[in-house]
Amino acid sequence: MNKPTQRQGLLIDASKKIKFTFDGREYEGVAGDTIASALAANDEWILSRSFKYHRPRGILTMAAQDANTLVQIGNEVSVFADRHPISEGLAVRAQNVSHSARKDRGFAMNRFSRFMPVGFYYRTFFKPKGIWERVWEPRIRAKAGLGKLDISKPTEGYYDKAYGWYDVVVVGAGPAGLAAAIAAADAGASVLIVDENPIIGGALSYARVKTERDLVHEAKVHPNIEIWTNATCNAWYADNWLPVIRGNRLYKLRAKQVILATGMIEQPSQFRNNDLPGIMQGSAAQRLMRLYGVKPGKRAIVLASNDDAYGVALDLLDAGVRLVAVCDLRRSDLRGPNRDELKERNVEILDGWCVWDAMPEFGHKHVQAVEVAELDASGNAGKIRLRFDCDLVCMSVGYVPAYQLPLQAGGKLEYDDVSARFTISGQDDAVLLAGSVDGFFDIDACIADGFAQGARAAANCGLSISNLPARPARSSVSPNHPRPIFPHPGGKDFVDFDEDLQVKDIKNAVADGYRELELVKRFSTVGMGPSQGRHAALATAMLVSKETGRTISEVGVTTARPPVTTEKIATLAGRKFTPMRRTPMHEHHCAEGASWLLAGNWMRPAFYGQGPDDKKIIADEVRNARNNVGMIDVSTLGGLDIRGPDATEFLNRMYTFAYAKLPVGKTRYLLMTNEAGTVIDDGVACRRGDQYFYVTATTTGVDRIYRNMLWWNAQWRLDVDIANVTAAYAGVNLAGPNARKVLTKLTDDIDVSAEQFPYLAYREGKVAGIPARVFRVGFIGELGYEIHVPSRYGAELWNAIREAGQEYGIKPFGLEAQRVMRLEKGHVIIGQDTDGMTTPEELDMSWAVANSKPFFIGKRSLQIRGKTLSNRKLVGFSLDRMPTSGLQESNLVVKNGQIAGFITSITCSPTLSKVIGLAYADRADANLGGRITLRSSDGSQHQAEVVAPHFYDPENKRQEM
Amino acid sequence: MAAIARSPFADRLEQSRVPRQPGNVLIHDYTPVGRTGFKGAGTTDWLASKVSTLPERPNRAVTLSDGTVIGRLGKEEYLVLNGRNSMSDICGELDASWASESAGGGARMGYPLPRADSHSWLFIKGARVSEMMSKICGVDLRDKSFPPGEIAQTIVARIGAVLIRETGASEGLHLLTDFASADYLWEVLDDASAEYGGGFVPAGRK
Amino acid sequence: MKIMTCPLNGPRNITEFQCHGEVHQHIDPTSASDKEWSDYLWMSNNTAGVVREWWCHTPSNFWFLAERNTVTDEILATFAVPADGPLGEVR
Repeated sequence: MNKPTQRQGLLIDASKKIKFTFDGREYEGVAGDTIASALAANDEWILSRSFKYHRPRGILTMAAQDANTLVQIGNEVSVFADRHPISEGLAVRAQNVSHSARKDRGFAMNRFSRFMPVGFYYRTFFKPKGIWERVWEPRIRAKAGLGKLDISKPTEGYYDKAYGWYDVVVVGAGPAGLAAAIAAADAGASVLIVDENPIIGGALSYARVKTERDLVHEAKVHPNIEIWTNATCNAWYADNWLPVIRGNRLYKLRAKQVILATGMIEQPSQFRNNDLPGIMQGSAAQRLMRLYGVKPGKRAIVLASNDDAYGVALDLLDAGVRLVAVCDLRRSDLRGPNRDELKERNVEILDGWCVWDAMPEFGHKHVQAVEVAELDASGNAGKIRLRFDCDLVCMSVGYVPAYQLPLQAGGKLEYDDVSARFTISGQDDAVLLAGSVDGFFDIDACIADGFAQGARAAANCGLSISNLPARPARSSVSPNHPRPIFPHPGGKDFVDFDEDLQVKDIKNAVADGYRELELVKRFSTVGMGPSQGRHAALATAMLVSKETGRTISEVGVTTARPPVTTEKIATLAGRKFTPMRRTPMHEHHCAEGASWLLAGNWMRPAFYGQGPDDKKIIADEVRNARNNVGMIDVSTLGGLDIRGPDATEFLNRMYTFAYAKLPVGKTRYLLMTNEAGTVIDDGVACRRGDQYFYVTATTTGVDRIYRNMLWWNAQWRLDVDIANVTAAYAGVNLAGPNARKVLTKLTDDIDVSAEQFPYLAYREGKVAGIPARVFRVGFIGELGYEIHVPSRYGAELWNAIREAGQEYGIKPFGLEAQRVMRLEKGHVIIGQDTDGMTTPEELDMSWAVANSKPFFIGKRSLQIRGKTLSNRKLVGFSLDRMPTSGLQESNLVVKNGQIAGFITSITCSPTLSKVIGLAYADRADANLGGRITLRSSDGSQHQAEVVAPHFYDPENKRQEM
Repeated sequence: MAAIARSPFADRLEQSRVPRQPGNVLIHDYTPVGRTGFKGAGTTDWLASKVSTLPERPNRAVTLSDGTVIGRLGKEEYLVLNGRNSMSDICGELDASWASESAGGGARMGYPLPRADSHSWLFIKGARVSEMMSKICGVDLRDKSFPPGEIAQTIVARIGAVLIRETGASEGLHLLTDFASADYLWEVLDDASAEYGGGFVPAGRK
Repeated sequence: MKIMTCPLNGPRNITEFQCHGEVHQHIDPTSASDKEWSDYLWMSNNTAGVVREWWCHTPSNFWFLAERNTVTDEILATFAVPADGPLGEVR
């Protein structure tokens, strides 16, 4: 029927033809067409099948507000067909169908609807236990759902985010929004207009309205106004923080003032088969005609409850649609300019009539006739009926303000049951409402309100406004019918199209005892579909209010939460910034074929070489360091410079050990507990001078420790300066029996002899000509030097050591070998061998706690915890061989069927040729030679012997060489 | 101390190409140029005795006649950047004077910070810089809100950063971030500037 | 997202900050009883109303104090840590 010679619409260029497919059939549209408008122009009205009953569904709003138009394009699901433009070769598929939208085998569900009452899922599928997961869920998922996503495919397209800053952001480019933007911009504000439609103007672009000023043009040319179309403001967050989706970019906008001119959402009427294709909002028909040049039908019925409906009627006549009748739900207050105009056009107008039943053509594919009924005195459908053949029903019975953003901004929605008017109040101070969302219906009032609110927003931004206009008076007549619901004994009078909920479903939910709207929602799922109750919330509230004998205001609406409309995970993800840090030796590690490990956000070599036999590689690295000499990049180790007259006092307070008597040129172990006495970090303090300590901290802990130190000193106010110099220093740990020989070759000014540079000493001098901080440590249990140099020299130092060590067969080792060796030596790693409860005593590290000090953080708590010791202790254990079921970190230590502890570290020691580890065990079992029971992941239990955790070189002869 | 021989960006810059539209966004690596920092009690007084002028409040920067930029990060914390095209090495001189004067004891003079080793240094200029930065930084860096002489200590693409808009007729931004995160930052900036045809100045070019 | 005004760095997105909880008066660990000490450690006032809190601007590691209404989540004032004197009382 719709084969006009040339389509004419605001958005289309009919001279440019575009071919695309829907469910495999080819169609021709024109440039500017959406999928839905192009299909409508081809007289194709079924876009989807409903969620439960697989009923054919078509255009309802033409405004991307309803789930009827969700389609799939490639691997992108739930695309709005009435928003997405067509392009050459675009392949569109219907969702939730077996076969196609036209022929859906699932439509048989429609006949079973009486067996699927409200709350069906909750009532039916829960017995016997597990049946939902095993049987029902997979079957229902196959029948219901929104598109099919192939999660093996990567996301297509480039998604990112950007921040933005404006004085005033106006959401909604209808008459009020445009007027507000112009007024604010005239006052000098920087203004952004955000609108989800492809063009600005809102109702000006499709409705039958006339204005004196060309607001669209004025806004477009205003130097202070920026306009974003096809942009969705999807939430309001505190301090006017607005996420706006524009294409593949998510903008995070901050506005001094926000003007919400979001307009109204037209509401459907509830009558039998009100979901048939061909039944749509009056505004949808207008959008089809004005924007896309598509005739919405041949023979139309208009269901009216306001003068806008008569604008629709006039538009239909102007477009050459035959208007069969207008049914007006009202009997009084009927005056209006459009109605007056229509009266002269020889159209049948039935005052006080409703649509009672819509008759489908075969297969429910389209409306073909309606039965209308005269309303009785109480506003219900009476016995007098008339039947009209028609293929289009336009509903214009009222609106709900687009309240989502105002309510997210803290507004409260009220409704007057008598006047059928909404009010929103109490939103954030920096958020203004303008136009119809705030109850201004008349076009002139809308515009006047926009100007007033725009000027007010500018004034609130601190701009000078000489004459702040007052807001206009709200019109006395509401366009909303108080109750356009006409329940049919045969049902199929849909309240919620997304979820296939009928009038009786809501009534039954209340009858089942769910009287509160939030409960009705959860029980019936009303408003939980993709359109988020935009067309269902009011009708539901009306039904619940009637069933429970309360006003609609008392019933209220459900909470409006972000997002306002659908958003993609890819949009939220953006560029996925994942900071990674590299040491200055990174390129050398690459050249040596390192396999990587993340320590915090540092990339560290796990070992040198690539699998599959990584255990052998690690064991070789261990053997070379134990028997010869090895080197490891320790640049990631935290480094703090602590300087000032109170430096010693500061360390004494921060750490458990005592530092006052530590001489310059020596190091001392550092153990940090928190106020509760729990071990939280460790390291080494190097005394560089009387008032200067160079302190190390764990790789992953240093940023937190540094911040924590600053926090404590903000309270102590000691005269000390703390600097985090982690990234400024590169470090190499040179360790093994031949380490001294290697270092000797590299330095002239440091005497590295055992006498002059003993274990735990600290020296400064040049290593390979580089100024270095050098100290003797024993983390892996061999003669070892920690050499720290400014990071600019890191690579150079690495090279120099590598070359100097060549003759001794030096080999770099990675983090894995280091972990093995420190475990062989029984050194704990804070965070791996400790948890949120660990005390120094549990670690047998009371030697590092100086109780003689007047104060350190955690001291008081440790005194208390020392009175009643915990019932666990960290012990060393060993097994002759690894059980076939394996044992790993976090496996349990069990005793008498109870959990006694867990394994914190375990390895097959290449040096000792047995399995060794650390575990928390019952204190009573901590005696050497005792046995503990370890439980593998598969449940099998294994006996291990309790041994001293110093598995390797217990006399420390090697590290003190 | 010797200059930074090899910038942490070097590997990437050796493979970079001249950007298509350098007027939009051009990123210079100044990591090899000298810089230093001082902080702690006495810093302001000591530094005032060494240079002609200091920023009057935190988060302000001044540019000296030879191009040296002095940024004030706190009440007693300063960042000093050598003039990018100048021959003088104020940072080296300051470090040396601090070392010799502090040996004598006496008045408080703060403590040096190894800024050259802890931070990489980029200079970003071009017509679309603030637009590009709005994709990776939550602070409004447009001229109006971030005029010359302003400093922002903030987060860029999830890492800590010091941003300085130099005084004088410069549309550029200094960006100082963690030395160890340079490769990550390169990827972020390369990605963010691609939209405008901008990018890094390749190795060996000015 | 809320805006927090740092006394050093000015108004910033609150993601640049960490809250470290209510400022509470340190007690003398040497004179406090075990019970008093554990109350000090583990008992939080959870005041419904205006509280004084520790906040840190993380990029600059600058610690400061803020007064916030825990009922409305309104940030009433922020200020630098005073060089001396008590930290705890709400103004």
